[in-house]
Amino acid sequence: MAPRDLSVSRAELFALVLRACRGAGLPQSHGEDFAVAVSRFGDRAAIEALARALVAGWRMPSLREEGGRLWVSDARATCDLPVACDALFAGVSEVRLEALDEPGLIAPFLARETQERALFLRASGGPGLWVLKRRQPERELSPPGGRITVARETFNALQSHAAKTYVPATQTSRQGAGAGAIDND
Amino acid sequence: MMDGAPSFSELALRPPGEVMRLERLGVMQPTRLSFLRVLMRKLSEMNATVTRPLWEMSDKGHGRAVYTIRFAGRAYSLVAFSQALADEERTDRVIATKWDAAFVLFDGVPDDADLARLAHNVPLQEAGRLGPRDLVLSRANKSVRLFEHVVQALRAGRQPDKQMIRDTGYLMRTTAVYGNGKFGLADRETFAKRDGLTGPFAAEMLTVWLIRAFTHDLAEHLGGAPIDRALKRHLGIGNATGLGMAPFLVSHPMLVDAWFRVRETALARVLALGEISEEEAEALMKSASEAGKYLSSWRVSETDAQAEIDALAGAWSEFRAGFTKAALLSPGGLRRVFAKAKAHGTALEELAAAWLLEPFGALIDDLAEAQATDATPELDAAMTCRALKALIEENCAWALECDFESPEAQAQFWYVSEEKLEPRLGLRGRDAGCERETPLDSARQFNALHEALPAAETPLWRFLAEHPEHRAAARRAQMLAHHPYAEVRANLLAQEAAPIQLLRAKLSFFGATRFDPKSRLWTRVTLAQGLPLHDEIGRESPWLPVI
Repeated sequence: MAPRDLSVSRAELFALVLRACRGAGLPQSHGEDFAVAVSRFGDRAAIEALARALVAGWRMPSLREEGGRLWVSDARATCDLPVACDALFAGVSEVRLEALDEPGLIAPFLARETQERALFLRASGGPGLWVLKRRQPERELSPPGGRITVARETFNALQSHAAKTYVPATQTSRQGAGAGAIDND
Repeated sequence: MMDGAPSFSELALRPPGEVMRLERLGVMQPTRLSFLRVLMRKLSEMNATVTRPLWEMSDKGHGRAVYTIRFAGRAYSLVAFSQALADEERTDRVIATKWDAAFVLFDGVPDDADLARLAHNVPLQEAGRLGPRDLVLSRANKSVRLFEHVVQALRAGRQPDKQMIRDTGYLMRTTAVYGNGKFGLADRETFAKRDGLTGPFAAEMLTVWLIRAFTHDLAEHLGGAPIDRALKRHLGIGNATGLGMAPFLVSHPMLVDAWFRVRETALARVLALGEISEEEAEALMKSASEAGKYLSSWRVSETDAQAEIDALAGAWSEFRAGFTKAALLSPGGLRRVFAKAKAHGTALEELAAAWLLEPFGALIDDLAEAQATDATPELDAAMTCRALKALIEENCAWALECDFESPEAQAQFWYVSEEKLEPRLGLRGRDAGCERETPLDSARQFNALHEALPAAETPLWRFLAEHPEHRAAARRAQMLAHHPYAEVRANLLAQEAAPIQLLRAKLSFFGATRFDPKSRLWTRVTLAQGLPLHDEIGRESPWLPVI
């Protein structure tokens, strides 16, 4: 492990991503989805992709339907992958993501869909256009497990998003919140 | 459906609308399915053994110790560090930075290098960094009065005063027990399938039980003599718990459903018995009597809380006078007695529910395995908006009844403190930070979703694409159709919603006794009191501790 790296537990990463997504302004359920996707199925690259994606914050998906397909223009992974997968789950035949910002988030997110929702999807394409479709069910995935190594800078970037959800404590807020200031009884 | 448990429809379970109310959660009691009791049974089944391979303690009781427990072909070690702590530094608050003792549950037997690493990190607690072989992190402070009394009594060649032990019940109290990956600890999934550690919080409960052994040994080390075994058994581990624990019941809905469904299934199985044996009736009579003794010895400092305990003790006495062993033995006797308990109010009903489970281990203990689940709610995006709206009306009526136009309905807000990253509760309008509110607002979310949903055949995904702010509530509402105990049926933002009730529920599942609420926000409890000592694995654990 490089000196600038940090070995973190999956649960630690889950909690951080959940807060970071909320701090970046994502809807609660999107944060929940990405926390599972990245902490259970992600690798170093996926975590870096998420940290970059969160900088752009939240915006509503830009959707249009043509010929039974759902098109998402100027696609952002953190904003649009949940709705894309919801649409495919509900029977939409294909979702086309145009100019997707962070393709590195596709694999962990689709793995989450398989594990959590038994939704088997495949992604094809490249810069400019990614196509998501259903595929034949296969053997269930085993999450990689074990710890995950992240660059300290990435961890700090996620922490700075998470910090936007924290509230400075005040004397009033501490009152009665726990035990006494001194407990020598 | 969980393994081994009958379906919701097979047995007449108490309905979730009755069970999951905050006022009922706030009077729950431990049962034989509580996690500590389950752990004790498993340790017994697996012939676990405990040794103390390291005890390096100064004459002031400062130093280090290792306790190793072996079961199912593995070893786990509690590593304890004890240090000097000035009186002015001793606080049970999460903001503390120093404690009388700090602990880690280590996976295996630590070597010198492990011990050196742990010595650098464990006493620092949140400020330290743990690793993949470190399973649980904890710390504890002395109960100064009792600890000193026990040591002085032993030094004087006496046994400690029984009444003092009864009044306090522990030599040290933990102020946090961290697991599942926090601060770099091992993820629960890395050991959750190992024999003996499959249950919820099993590693944490094992840690607490081993810490209890350490506190006994430390007092005996300083006192220079052994504590009488019966007295020692009655020395559990205290715990001071505040808001940090409260959000768990909201953020782990499927797990909560499993815990409550198991408990309710167990009760339903017992109540479904037509007749019981003479031995079972005798055991019930005996444990009813023990419960009476427990209630009369349960003393707390807060006047209101003591009045509630006294009222429960009085009601229990009256309840016990209302049935005989013959009544329990008569066909349908348990159901009739339980109906009588219900007439005495919620607190007594919950105590009676726990009491009724006691002699029926053979009937219900198999359910314990179903208390663990790592499932999470998932969204059926193909459902129509009309169907979801109907589902909310069916399962979330309690939330729809709330009037969120009223300031009282949103008087409180939950947030995470910047200082310790711990949950806190603020008052809207008084405290800053409500724009950063933590979403522990299921009732408000269900309410808002219901209002926004069109009663139309539109597929849910289309609605949620335009209203992603409702997606979390949509999947929680869908979950309730199959996991009816998953949601605390209360508006946790309301002025009257007291977090202490959430704490009581969770702690009762742990097996905590002697709830000692200090405010509506925090409580002290006792864990492992009355349980077998570390050299008594296999001895029967009592339901409630009585000496």
